Amino acid sequence: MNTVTKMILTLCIIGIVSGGALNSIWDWADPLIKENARIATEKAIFEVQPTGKTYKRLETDVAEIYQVFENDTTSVGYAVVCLGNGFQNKIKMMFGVDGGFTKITALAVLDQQETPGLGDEITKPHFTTKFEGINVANNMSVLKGLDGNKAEGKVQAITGATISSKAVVEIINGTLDKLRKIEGLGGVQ
Amino acid sequence: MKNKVTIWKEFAKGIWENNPVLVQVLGLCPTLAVTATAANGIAMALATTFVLIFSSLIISSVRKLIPTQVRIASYIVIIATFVTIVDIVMKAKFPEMSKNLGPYIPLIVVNCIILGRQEAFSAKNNPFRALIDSIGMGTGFLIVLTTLGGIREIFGKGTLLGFTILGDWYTPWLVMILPAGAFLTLGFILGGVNFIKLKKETRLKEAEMANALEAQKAKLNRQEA
Repeated sequence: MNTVTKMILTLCIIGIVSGGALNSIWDWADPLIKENARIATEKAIFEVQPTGKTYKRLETDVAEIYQVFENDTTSVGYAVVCLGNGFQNKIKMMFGVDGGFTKITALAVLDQQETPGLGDEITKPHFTTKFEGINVANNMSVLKGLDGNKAEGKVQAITGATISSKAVVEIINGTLDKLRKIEGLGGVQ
Repeated sequence: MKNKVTIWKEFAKGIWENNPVLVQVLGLCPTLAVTATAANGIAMALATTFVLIFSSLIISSVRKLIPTQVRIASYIVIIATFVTIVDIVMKAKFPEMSKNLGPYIPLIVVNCIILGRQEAFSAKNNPFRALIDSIGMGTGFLIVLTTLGGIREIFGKGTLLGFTILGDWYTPWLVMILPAGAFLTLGFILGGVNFIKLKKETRLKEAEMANALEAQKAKLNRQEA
């Protein structure tokens, strides 16, 4: 067998064996990975809508949005996944909002890569609780150095992490604006 | 020549004499990037060692079958296969740690320690020796990452493996969990290791010279007697 044939054969065999092995591992792992994602999402949903008992994913491409129910008949609002640009990379969050998009129930930061010790303070309760019960009938705004005001939709930025704080607010504002445009939403009670 | 190196020596050289990070200065990217906490460092080292061991076993087993012109391409595909296996298994079984280590797991493919060992050792030795060598290098890597991670976590967060070591009185040095702190700490560790090696070498040389001197004296005494 000449060298070129040997080279081609070697690389082909390695490729086929490698592909086969990875295929098998993937078949085993894929259900587990999907289950992990489902558990994480469910945990976040009930974190941002604490009174909810069951949820249902809504059919829309605009956002990943779940309607949350207290019991068989009463809806307590929605849990919405939002994604946007932070200071370093994308920030992924879930927030709970009432049926009329007037108030946020709670906020959970799911994924972020902001600066450790500064931007990543957005995950801490001292920041996320600023959003509990905040008025979002109009877009929220960020204040530096001054106290926030929930009734007016104003959030105080974290010292040293203004950009990350602003990013959180802008991502939520943008997502709510998109949701209001969807028919059938925003008027549900 | 190879058989003169004992199994123990083959293993132990990866820990001190030829440590992949401290002596060969390879694999610095994951070393600096994921050692903000000790747990992350340990997980990364274990993942890397797994890839190293199995890549070395496979490559050593088929070393005579791979034509030399395609050896690098072959090694990389084999290494990448094992890295993908580690990535998938971590996502399925250890999702928290997988999120912590992020893109650095797939980056194990380009960790110079692994490809370096294949070229320098596995391609020229039988699978048993390749296994011992890999375990040794992996252990050396684990020790460095754990130490670096431990130091950075204690001074940068006040905790170790999640347990609070330094209480509320301690204001954490933020720089320790940022890249600058990684470079500083590694620099000091490298400096310390080199210092110890230099001292050992000097002492050995002095002992050698003292022995040579004694031998000369003894010779002269015999001649005079």
